[in-house]
This record gives sequence, C-alpha cells and structure tokens, in this order.
Amino acid sequence: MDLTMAARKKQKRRLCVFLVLAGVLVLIGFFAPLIVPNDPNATNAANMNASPSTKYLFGTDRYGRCVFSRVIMGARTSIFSAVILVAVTFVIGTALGMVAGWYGGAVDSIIMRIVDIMLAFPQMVLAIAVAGILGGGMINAMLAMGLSGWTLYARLARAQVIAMKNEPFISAARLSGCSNTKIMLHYLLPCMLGGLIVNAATQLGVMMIGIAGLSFLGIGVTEPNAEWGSMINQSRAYMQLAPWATLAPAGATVVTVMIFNCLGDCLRDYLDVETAK
Amino acid sequence: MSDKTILSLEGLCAGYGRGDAISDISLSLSTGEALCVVGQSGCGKSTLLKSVIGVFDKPVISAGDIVFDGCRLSELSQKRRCALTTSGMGFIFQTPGAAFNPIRSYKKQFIETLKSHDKYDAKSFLPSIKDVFSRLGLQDCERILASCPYEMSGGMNQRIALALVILMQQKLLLADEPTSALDAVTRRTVADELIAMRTDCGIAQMIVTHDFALASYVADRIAVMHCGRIVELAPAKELVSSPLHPYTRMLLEAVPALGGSIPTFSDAPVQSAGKLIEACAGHFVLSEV
Amino acid sequence: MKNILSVKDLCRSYERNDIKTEALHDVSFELKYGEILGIVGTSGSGKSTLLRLISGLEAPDAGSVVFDGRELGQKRALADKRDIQMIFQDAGASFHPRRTIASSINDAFQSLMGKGAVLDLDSLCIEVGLNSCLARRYPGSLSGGQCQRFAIARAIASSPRVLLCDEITSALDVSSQAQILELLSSLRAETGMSMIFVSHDIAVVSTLCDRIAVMRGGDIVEQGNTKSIISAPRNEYTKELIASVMEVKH
Repeated sequence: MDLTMAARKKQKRRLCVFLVLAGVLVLIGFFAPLIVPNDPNATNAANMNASPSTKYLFGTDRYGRCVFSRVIMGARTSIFSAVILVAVTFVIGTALGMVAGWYGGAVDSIIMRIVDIMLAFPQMVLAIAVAGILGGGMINAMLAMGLSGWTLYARLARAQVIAMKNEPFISAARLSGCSNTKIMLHYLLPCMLGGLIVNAATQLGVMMIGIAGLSFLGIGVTEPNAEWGSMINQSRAYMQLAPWATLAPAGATVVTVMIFNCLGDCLRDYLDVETAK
Repeated sequence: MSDKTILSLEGLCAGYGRGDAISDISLSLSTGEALCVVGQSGCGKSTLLKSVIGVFDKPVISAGDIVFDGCRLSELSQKRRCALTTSGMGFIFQTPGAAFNPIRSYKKQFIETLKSHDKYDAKSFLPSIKDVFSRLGLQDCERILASCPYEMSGGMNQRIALALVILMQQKLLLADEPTSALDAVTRRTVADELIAMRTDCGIAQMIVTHDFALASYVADRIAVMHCGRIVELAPAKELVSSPLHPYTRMLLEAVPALGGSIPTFSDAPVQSAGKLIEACAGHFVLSEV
Repeated sequence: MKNILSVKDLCRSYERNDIKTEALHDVSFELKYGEILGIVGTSGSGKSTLLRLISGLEAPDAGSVVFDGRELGQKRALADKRDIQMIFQDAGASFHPRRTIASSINDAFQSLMGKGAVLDLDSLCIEVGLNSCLARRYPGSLSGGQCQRFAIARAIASSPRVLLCDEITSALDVSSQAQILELLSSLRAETGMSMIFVSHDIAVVSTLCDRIAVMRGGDIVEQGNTKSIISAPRNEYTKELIASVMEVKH
C-alpha cells in the first residue's frame, strides 16, 4: 500500500516537472520576439559563421544572423504549428471516429474507408505531393501533415466507442431517452478523453518532427522565416565550418520532442492509475 | 480432533494499514475437512483467506500466527513461505479461470505447473490426469487438454482448476467465492465436485462464500463472520438447525428457499464484541463475558 | 383486457464471422397487470436478449411487442420509454463513472419527463431505503447493493408501469439480495407495477414471482404458476434446474 503511494507520488512529481518544462517551452514560443537578444533576420556580412560568443550565444550562420535568436524564433513556429495541428486533427478525428463507432453500418464503413485511403499513402509522400500541388509554405505543410494525422484519433475514438457502446450505463442512458448527441458528448466523450489526450500529447512531438522534416526538404517554412528544420537544412553544407548553426536547431528539436514525448508518457501513467481506481 | 491438523490460525489479527480488518481469528482444519467461512461482503472473509495465502496482495499480520502442515509461517522467510504455500495449497477464485493463461492450452500449463514443483513424470502424466478427470466426471480428457481456457465456459474452467489441485497432490484448497460467478446448474456440479475431492482425495478445504446454501451443502463445519470476527462456529448441520447468534439467524433468513416466502434481511446492528465461547460440544458462539 | 404486455413470436439472431446464432426463437408470453413474471435459464438461454428487445435497446428480427394494447416499434415515443424501464446486473457499471449518482438519476429523470420536471430525490431515496447523502457519491465508492438500489430508484423515478430486471441480484451477496427482493415486492404492493424478473437461480425467482417461464436455447420450454412449476415440473430441463437447488436444511 505504502509502496504504491510512494510510486504514485513519484509519478505526480514527474508529471509536474514535464508540465513545467512544456509550459516554459510554450512561453518561450509565445514571447519569442521579446526575448531574442538580436534581430533573428538581420544579416551581417562582416560576421559570417562566427563561433559562439557572449553576443552570439550559439554563433552566427552563413549570413551572419544570430543562431540563438533564430532558434528561439523557430520555437514559436515549431511549437505553435504543432499545437494547432494536433488540436485541429484531434477534434476532427475524434468527432468522426465517435460518429463511426456509434452509428456503425454504412456511416462507419464510409468513414473507415476514408481512413484506410489516407493511411495507404506514406505520410511524407502524401505531404510532398500536397506541397507539390499547393506549393510550399507553413500552412500547406500543416495541411499536408493534418491530412493523415486525424486518422489516428478517428481509429482510437471508434475503437473506444465500440468497446463502451454496450456498457450498462450507456444502455441506461438510452432507455432514459437521451438523444444520440447527448450520449456521445456527455457519456462517451468524458470517459475516453483521458486516453485521447495522452495520445495527442505524444503526437505533438511527432508532428513537430514532421513539420521540421518537411521544412528540411524545403517544402515547409520558407526563408527568411526561422524554423528548426529549414535551419538545419541550410546550414548542413557548412557543417565543418560552423557546426553550431546545425547543432543548435537540431539540439532544440531533440530536447523539445523529448519533453513532449515524456509529458505524454507521464500523463498516460498518471491517468492509467486514475482509471484503474 | 484426533485427525491430523493441517492448518491452524491462532488469534490472527490482520488488515491493510488503517486498523485490523480481521481480529482474533482462531480456527483449525484437519485433513479431509471442509470449512466454510460465511459472511456479507466486507466482513473480512477475503482478508482472512489472503492472510493464509500470504503471497500476493497480502494483509499485514499484526498479531497471532498461522501454522500450516506443522510449519509456523511467521518463522519462515518470504521465499520459503512462497515455496511452501504454492506447493502445499491450491487456490480457486471467483473469476473462473483467473489462474490460467487464457491463450495457452491446458496441457502445456499443467505440465509447466507440475514441472515447476518437480511433480512431473512424462509416463504417468496422462493416465493420472485421466484418473483425476474421471473422478470429477469430466469427459473427453484429450479434447479438454488440447483446448485453451478462453474456449471454455466459466464452470468448466473452475472444474479444471479443481483437477489441477488434485493432480498437484496439494493438501489444502483455498477457495474464494468459487461458485458465485456460475449459474445454478453449474454451481451444483462444482459443489458436488468439491465434496468428491474431499472424500476421495482427502484434501482439506477452506471455502469463503456468502452463499449459505453452498456452505451447508459442502461444509463439515461453518464459521460465520461479521465485522472481522467469527461470531459463530459449529458443525454445518447444527449451525443451520439451531443457530445461536442473532447474526447467523439473520443471514439464514436471507437465504431464498425454493417456493418459500421472500427472504428478509434487516440492517439492524448486532453485537460483535466479546469472546468465542463453547456453548456445547464443538459449537462456539461469540458472547459478551 | 388483462395483459399489460404481450410478446408474440419474437426472433433474434446474431451474426458473427458469418456464423449465425439464434438467441431467441419464436418466444411468446403475456404479462398481466400487476404481475411479477420470473424468467429462468442458464447463461446463453436468451433471457437477456429478450429483455433488450422488450425495452427497445435492440430490434427484433421478427415478432412483436404489444404494450397496453398497442404494438411498439423500434422508434419509441417518450411516454413508452417512461413506461418500460430496465435494471441491469452490474449496478455499478450502469451509472456514469464520472458523475455522482444524484446527477445521473436527475439526468435520466429530466430526459424522460421533459425539462423543468422537478425530482424529489430525498423521497425517492427513502423509497429504496437509502440515505440521500449517499447519492452525492460516485458509483465506484458504493457497494453493489447500494448501487443496485439507486439503479432501482432511477428506474422508478418516472413511475414506469413495467420494470425489467436483468439478473439484478446475481452479483450481490445473500443479504443484499434479500433486501432487493423485499424492495421489489413492496414496490409492487404499493404501485401495482408489473415486473419481469430474469435470473439463473430458480430458488430466488420462486420466492418473488407469481409465474415462471423457463428458457433454454432461445425457447421458452415451460411456463406456469410458480407453485405448479415448483411442485410438478413437466419439462426435463425444469426438473434439472429444480434438482440443482441446494437447500439449507433446517
């Protein structure tokens, strides 16, 4: 008994730590223009590929721009695009998945076949195709990622609804005359939200890597806007000359993705116990 | 009793953290005897059983001791105790088949269990299983062995679990609500098998249940528990025909009888303090001194 | 007209992996006003399916459910839903796990009676013999017997005329079972509600019910007055069921 209490406390502490870290990241992204030490887009021909110093913490890139400032500005693009992307796909995917699971039959078949089609394309290939048709840019990159991103939530939500559909409390709600929408929103959704949110938290990291990957390929964020993926791409040719220009955004990506993944894991451990109770 | 005592509890007090869930339990069980512990849910009967098992989810024993097969359990290390428990006692639980892996065949699981206790003998394995199965009235020995627990009904799983206990030549069976998840017909079958197991193989049984009907059908002696204490302990026939403690009478009135009137049970508090006193030979009742 | 509910030739089969299993096969029976009908059978005999069809949770493949002289379809009017209520075996799971009992009961009442209807929770709790303080708790923190009594409270809040009980005492211990049986019989005495009481335990059914129907493999094999079924069963299966009862010998 005491052992589980101690373990539970530890879980709670871990969750808090990662929540704070994630919060700090979001704050950095939000206030990025205010905290950057130098103008992230100001070029300086006299100071190209300079090594890290007190003025330029992470040195400068091939145009003489401050890498530190660009990494911080990049946090804004990366984190916010990932959060918005996950939020939109979460809502759409969950709604469609619940409808498919609850009504079943033809509605279910149609929605799930669309999911199958989306999953049949590798995500990156689909994204490249979309970017090829619509052109590059942040919004198009997000659209490309989102096109297949929602399927995860749809499949999860559908599976959970089907599992819960015949629970006595759902039957009881139906017998007491609750409408379908009410059952879905008031009865089903609160019971499955935990699992879905955990997935969304883990998905944040994946989306971030996805967008960085697209930018790295040159079909995501375009210059001069700062984004970690595109920064890595542009500075990799000067790897030997100015390794900091590659390592700084790469390190930032790794750290951020890890924080969001760990947050997802902690959240899952924490909620798992909650439901087991 | 003249028979060999297999298990005895000496003033056992145990619980989970805050206070004792069971207090001052003294019982003894001889070879080939069946004792049923009857009580409402939350009366501490499962805690009692788990204290005896003492392997998983185990309550903290604050006073008293358990003697199993001549060994004082408190004197043994946890490892020795586990070894003694798993080789000497068999368990069945409320959830049928909880002790089996649902997707491995019974045969593999039987062999594995026997091997881990050095009781496996390739030559005698099949004949002895056939013998045990026929004693429990299970037909189609080969077909059962080849199938997996998930394919079987709850009652079947419960019966096969009993077979394994006999096969392991364990001396004591501990059962927690063995029939409450089963339907009426299967319940009767399992009850009959419990009796067969005791009379044919001499395996002592301690069965925890809320079902007075099962208890009076299967048991030699019945102990009635209330609020963590034994309020009455007597031979089954005597306890049912002439209950002394008011709580026992209340529980008996709650048992539905075929074609009888609607059973009743009132939430009236009953005294559960005092000492267990022998009212007549072998009939103990809790009374204030 | 003396039947509040009559069921005619109900059929229902389920298809899974192209294997068709018949859960109900031409089941017919009548329920009189103010009567408690017991349905006995082992698991898989189709008794739960039967209740789900009567309650409207599922649609029958064939046959009809006639309530108070009208045939009920799959889409039911609110008034009909109000009149036929059902209680389930797993009482704890029949309440929303993240809501208090009171809010669940209230919610069901509002949906059935229309917005603005005021529920007198206190007197409802008294009726089922519980303290209304308990209703502020979550289902997970109550015992099975308490949950089941709240489930009865929810079902009778809209004053239904037929109560369907699906194995409602099977998961309870004998003391709670006795209390639930007492509660049901006093409810019938007070309100004249008709009930169908489904259970695998013929002893339990025989104490409460006026008539008994025995089900096996989706068919009703025998039905009649409790007394005659118990004392002179005709069907082999009924005999087997009665023989399996373990009696406490006084």
